[in-house]
Amino acid sequence: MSRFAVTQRLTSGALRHLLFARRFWLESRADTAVEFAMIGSAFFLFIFGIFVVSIDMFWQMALDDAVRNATRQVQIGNITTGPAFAAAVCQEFGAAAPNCTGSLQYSVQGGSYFGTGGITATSFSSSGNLGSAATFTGATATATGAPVFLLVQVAYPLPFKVLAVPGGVATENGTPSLYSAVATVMEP
Amino acid sequence: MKFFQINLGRFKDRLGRRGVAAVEFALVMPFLLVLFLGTIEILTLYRTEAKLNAMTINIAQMLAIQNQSTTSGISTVPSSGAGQPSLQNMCQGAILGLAPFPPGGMTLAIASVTLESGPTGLPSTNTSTSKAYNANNTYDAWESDFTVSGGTCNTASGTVIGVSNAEKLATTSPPSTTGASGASGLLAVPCDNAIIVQATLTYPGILGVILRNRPTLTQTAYTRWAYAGTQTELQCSSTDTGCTTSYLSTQLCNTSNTATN
Repeated sequence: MSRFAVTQRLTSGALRHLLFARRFWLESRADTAVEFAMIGSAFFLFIFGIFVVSIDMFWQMALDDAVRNATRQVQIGNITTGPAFAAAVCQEFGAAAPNCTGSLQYSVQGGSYFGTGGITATSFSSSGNLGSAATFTGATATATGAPVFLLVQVAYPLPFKVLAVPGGVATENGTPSLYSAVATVMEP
Repeated sequence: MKFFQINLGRFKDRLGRRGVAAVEFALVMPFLLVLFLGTIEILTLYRTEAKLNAMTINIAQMLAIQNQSTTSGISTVPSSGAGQPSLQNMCQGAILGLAPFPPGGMTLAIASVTLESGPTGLPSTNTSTSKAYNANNTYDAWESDFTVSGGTCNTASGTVIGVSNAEKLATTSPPSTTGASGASGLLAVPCDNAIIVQATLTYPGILGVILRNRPTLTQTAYTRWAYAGTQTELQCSSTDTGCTTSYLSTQLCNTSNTATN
């Protein structure tokens, strides 16, 4: 092959590619679709983040309120068992969140003081589980005298893992569970 | 040449319209992000405040319902000590209810005021010769303060509320440290009691991006000792180093008091 022929072949090949690239660059069909694909994904991810945080926050506040109300029932002696406590929480909280009865973890402890030998907080692991999933002990009031303190801890593992934004930011406690606690005292 | 010029024009036109949405998105995104993060921050701030309020009320209730170490009608609550329902222990337990928010840096002030004598007597005797009669109110008051560091309640020196301020707060309506004391406050009759719990927490923030200045949340709860009666009083011992006390030399609210308050 002559030197001229090689150059011609190379040039025509490069030119062909150049022309194709130029045509592609100037092509305006589906411009909007491509832009939408690029920006839309980021935008919808953002919108989804708002959804996730909103749902988590709403559930968290509903759980706080339900736990506070159920604790009040324990304080005045209306609730004396674990299942009754869970039912009271789920009656209110279950209206907002799915599978409350099945996944709610609780620890209700009564005692004459806080600390070793008295009420010690049930551990709440980084995976969002209480050390003991269903505890209800010592929540009985004495007539007079020394107070009977009460520590209520409740964890609700989020039903969809996608709701636990990485790092547990939306649950405000760094775990994939919602957590609510109340420390108070039994009514004599 | 003409052919080239036309094409350059079209090329420029296409180039100018491309990425408009991306640029708009990039312009709007920072504002949306601030709005989004700000919403989370404000909601967390609101929840922290709600938790702090509940905790303050619960501490007040813990103290209101306790009745221990009673001698001659005077119930003495210890300021510190583990393994017993001391004020420190109440603080230690109550901060568990603040979870998941860190209690570090929180200041807690617990005060109790008991009206010993005043111009109003009960049930009917209200003369200058009545035992609990006094033209001006006289009080027994004490205060015990704590600061939380590393999840532990430590007894603090000094008083955040102040014993005399606590007396003012208990006898003014609405509670104020500057208003005129009268019978309109919590303490209407001798031996009546007021418990004042004040918690202060600097909101830690979740990101530190939106709220550059940390707001300080303060909540005060008022309640009455559940066992307050004409012959009872809630005290913190004057020898208890964790308490600042102000007691009258003549004690009226105890079982040796047979007068009609």
